[in-house]
Amino acid sequence: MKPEPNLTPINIDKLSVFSNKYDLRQDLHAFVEYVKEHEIKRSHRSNALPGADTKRLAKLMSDPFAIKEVETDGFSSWVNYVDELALLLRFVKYDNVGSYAGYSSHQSSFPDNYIEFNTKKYEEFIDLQVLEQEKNLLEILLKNYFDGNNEFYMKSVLGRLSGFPTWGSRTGIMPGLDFARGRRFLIEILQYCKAGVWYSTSSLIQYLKKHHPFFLIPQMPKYESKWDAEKGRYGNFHERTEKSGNGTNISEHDADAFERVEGRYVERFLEGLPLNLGYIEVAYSTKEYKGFLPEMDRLLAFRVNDKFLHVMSGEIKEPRVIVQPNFEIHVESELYPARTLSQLTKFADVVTKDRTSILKLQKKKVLTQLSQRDDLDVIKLLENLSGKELPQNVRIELEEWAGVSEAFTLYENVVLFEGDRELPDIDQFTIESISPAMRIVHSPDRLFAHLEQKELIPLHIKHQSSALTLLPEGAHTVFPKQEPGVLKSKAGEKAKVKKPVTIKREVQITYRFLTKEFMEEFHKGLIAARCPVAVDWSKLTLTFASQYEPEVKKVSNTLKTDYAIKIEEIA
Amino acid sequence: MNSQKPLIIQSDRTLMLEVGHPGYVECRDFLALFAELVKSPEFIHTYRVTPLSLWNAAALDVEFKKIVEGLETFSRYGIPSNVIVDMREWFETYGKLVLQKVSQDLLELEVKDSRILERIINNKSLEHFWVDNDGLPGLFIPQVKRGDLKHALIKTGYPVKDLCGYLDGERFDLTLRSIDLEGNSFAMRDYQKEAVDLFYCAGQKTGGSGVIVLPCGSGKTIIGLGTVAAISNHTLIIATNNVSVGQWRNELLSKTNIKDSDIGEFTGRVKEIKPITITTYQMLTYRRSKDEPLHNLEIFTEHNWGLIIYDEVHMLPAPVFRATTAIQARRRLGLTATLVREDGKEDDVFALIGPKRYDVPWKTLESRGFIAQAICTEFRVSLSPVEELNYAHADKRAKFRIAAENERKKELVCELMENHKGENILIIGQYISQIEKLAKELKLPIIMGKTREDEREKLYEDFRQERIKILVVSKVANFAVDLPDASVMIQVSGAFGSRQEEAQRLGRILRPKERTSHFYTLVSKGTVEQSFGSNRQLFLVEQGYRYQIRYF
Repeated sequence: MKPEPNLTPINIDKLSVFSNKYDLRQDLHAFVEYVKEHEIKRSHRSNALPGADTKRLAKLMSDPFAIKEVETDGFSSWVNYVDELALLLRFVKYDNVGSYAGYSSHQSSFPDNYIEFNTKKYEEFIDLQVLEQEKNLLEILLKNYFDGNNEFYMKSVLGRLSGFPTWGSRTGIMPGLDFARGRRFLIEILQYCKAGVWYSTSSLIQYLKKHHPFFLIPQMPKYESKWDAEKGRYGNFHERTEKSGNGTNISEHDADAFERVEGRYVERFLEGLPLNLGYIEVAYSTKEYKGFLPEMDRLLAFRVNDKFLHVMSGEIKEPRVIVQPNFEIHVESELYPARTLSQLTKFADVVTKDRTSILKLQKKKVLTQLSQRDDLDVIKLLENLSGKELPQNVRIELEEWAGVSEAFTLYENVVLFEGDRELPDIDQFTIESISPAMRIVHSPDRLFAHLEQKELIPLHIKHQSSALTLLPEGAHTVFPKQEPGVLKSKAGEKAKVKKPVTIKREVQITYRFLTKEFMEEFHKGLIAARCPVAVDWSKLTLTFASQYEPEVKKVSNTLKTDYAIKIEEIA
Repeated sequence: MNSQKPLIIQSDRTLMLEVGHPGYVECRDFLALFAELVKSPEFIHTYRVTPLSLWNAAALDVEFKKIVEGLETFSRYGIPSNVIVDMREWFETYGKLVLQKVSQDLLELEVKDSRILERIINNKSLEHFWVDNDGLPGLFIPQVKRGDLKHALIKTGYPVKDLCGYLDGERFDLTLRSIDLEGNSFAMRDYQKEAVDLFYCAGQKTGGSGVIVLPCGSGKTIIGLGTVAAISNHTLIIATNNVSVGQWRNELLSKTNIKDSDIGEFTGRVKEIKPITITTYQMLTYRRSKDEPLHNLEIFTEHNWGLIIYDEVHMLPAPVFRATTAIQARRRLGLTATLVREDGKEDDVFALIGPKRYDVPWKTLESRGFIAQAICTEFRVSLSPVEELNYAHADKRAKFRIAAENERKKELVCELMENHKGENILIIGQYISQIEKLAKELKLPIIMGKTREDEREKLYEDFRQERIKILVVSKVANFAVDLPDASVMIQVSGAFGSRQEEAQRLGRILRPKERTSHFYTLVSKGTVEQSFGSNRQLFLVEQGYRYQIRYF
């Protein structure tokens, strides 16, 4: 049994506090949803996300810093981290080993490396309760280490502290270290902290040194070779100064060896997994660092939050859904409610994502869903999610929307046919008979020709998109006919009844010639082209309607074989 | 998740308060100190913390420590760390800039933060305010620029604590009656007294300007009268329209000892300046042509007012704002049901009229019986087959009109009149031809814009005295028609797009009464009128009213 850690509270007034403003869960789902909808080919040499997709993904992240980072550096560490996590969780699939393509570089290449979305894995995940999702996520991150990819050597995505030099990082004690166990142990220790209280990191390190000195590096590590064994427990860790690259070895017998190795690890662990998951905030020294590298005694304080303690104690409840009379749906959840949101976004737009995510029911979305799924009962679904009846006005509106979707059947490329007598020989065109005199028919042009042939004087009415066109006064119809003034007097009592008058406009073009000879030749050409033209030999002009301009141009072009014709506008 | 606590604090500083929680009332009263209520639908009320809401709190001497403690007490989850940091920064900005009087014509801006001082000194848009004061160090401003400076500083994010005090206006003693002219006993309600006291601050420099926010029907006019009595100076009251001018006059005569001859009107009808003068925003901004200056705004400075009251301050037009910059030495009281302005210029109100001094949630007043409970019902009425066809062929504008004038609405009006027999009913409509026809067919008296003033007054009086129980009115009744006993309003047509119109119409039936008030809106089913109605539905439910939809 572990003795309860007696960590020391600390004043952080003079420290620089860092909180993770990203929500890893939200960003993970945003990433996956994006990948689901896009065909993304990773870069051939570096296997990185393409720039355009990185930019779009950064915009979807929960902290605007991601997009700023892309704008300045061309990439976002956070997006890359989320990308790796999606792969670890197997929500997506792509080649991350690559193949040697024979370049001069020893690096692998990644030809045609498209990201594939793994629907099954993802759906299995979001079908879990939020606490289960969180535990899966935590487990994956606890176990995520390989070769030199651990807190000793790799800088955390949000961290500030650098790592030990990586040479020899696959040798010595490293292959035998169980980082998952060590991380899990530290997470357990953190559960003893009170939410919101800043504790000194050194008190945690001292507690570990005193009570659990082998929490990470065993007293008797397993070595793969005798050369590794010769290095000893701390043989993998070398301190260095800014100038000297090779550094100093740390002896296991040094009084401060634990602080210099495990102590550094603890600082880097705190700014890693728990910070990335939004379980803690950290505070750094603001003084200039002058000691050996990698830095130590820099992350001086940390505090855990309620969310962390609730996750650890299993107190995270399932999301609570409240449908408000203003059509807002509030989803209250301590952790990102992926499943609930994926259900609700089919009917509603997201307004805010936070502890309480707010969505707004959208008529268009509801209608689309209703048209796609006959068995869908939106009211029942929302009542099941919220656990109570919907507000009366919301229920009525939803019923009305559902009614609208049932009231219409969409026919494409058809017209409404109306006749004042039975016309049995149009059955071949009929799709639906509404009444003896009214039918929905296809092939309107053929039907029109057919009726004309029968000398039935049909009328083809084309309606505007904003309103139905009134039928001519003499038409045989049940629909309103053109009766000037009736509608307008209804619509606006001050509007006068106006007589319809049409003025037809025609533009005439006049060519003024300088010589009679050329005019005669041009005139002949026009006559040959059957182009109506008014001739004034006294003024040497030819005048024609603008609609004949193409024919006139043709004539002009024909004459261009013998003449260099220039047409000048008369101001 | 600790559901023992009622408040959820979001990282964007939005606060969500659960109404059904036992701690709701206590938490709501706490939030009223420093946050703006954005919407209050049935289950969750949304508040927002803004620089302005925190400056309002700071101006009322609310301690930041208490705000943080309260948030920690009521918050269901840990408070997002950025929230307190941002709030502290905004809160502490107030009071760092203090405007003090140096002499009759000169003021000094004292800046208590060197960083802010640096920014202000280097801000080119502020350069023209500073004047030399015999080489003395400091930022000195001519008295006449007091309002302009406050306005400019708030636009750059720095609120000014104005401790220059006020000019005493010409003395005019006025007291409130204990029995009004109708013979009813009269006394200000406790919240009205509290509002007057918080505004006046016993005549200290820290009071004397600001806004009082109370729901329609809660007696804002009485607070105005109480303030006039407390200050007892010549007072200019700016109302929304002539009907409202009449209402102020009647209330003054009925509830104070003022003589009729001491009340002046500065309107299109009469132009007289008396110890208590009532005018309208329209009158102040009137001019014959666009090129002419706004002569009527001179009324602010040509007379020695001790108090200026801005009724329905959320409607204050821009020219009056500008004129208000010149009268910062006068006490200024804004009255409104909502600080939300359609033009988003809430910070102008803060800078030029003053901070919010008092605010009571309408639910509190409703539970204490000071305003009536109201149920809003939307009736969806089908069009007749003929109207349906006409509707289908009509253009957009005509569609709305056909829907508004649905013939079947008359049947429903009759049914509602029957259901509410004996109650005072107002029938209100947008279209004159529609309400004229309705009034004629149902043999009901009608008031429209063209109704003569004397006839209108007689009908109002008959309605007040319950000699007539049902009155048809056009949109002239939107503002300030004092109809104390109306408990049912039937809206047969309306603009439905304006939040203010909706609030004002509803306000007509919110005066306290024993029975529940009903607000019926009649819309044509499946038409644009119904779609327009969704704005209204949203507005009313977000104000916290129960909203039902029924079919006819």
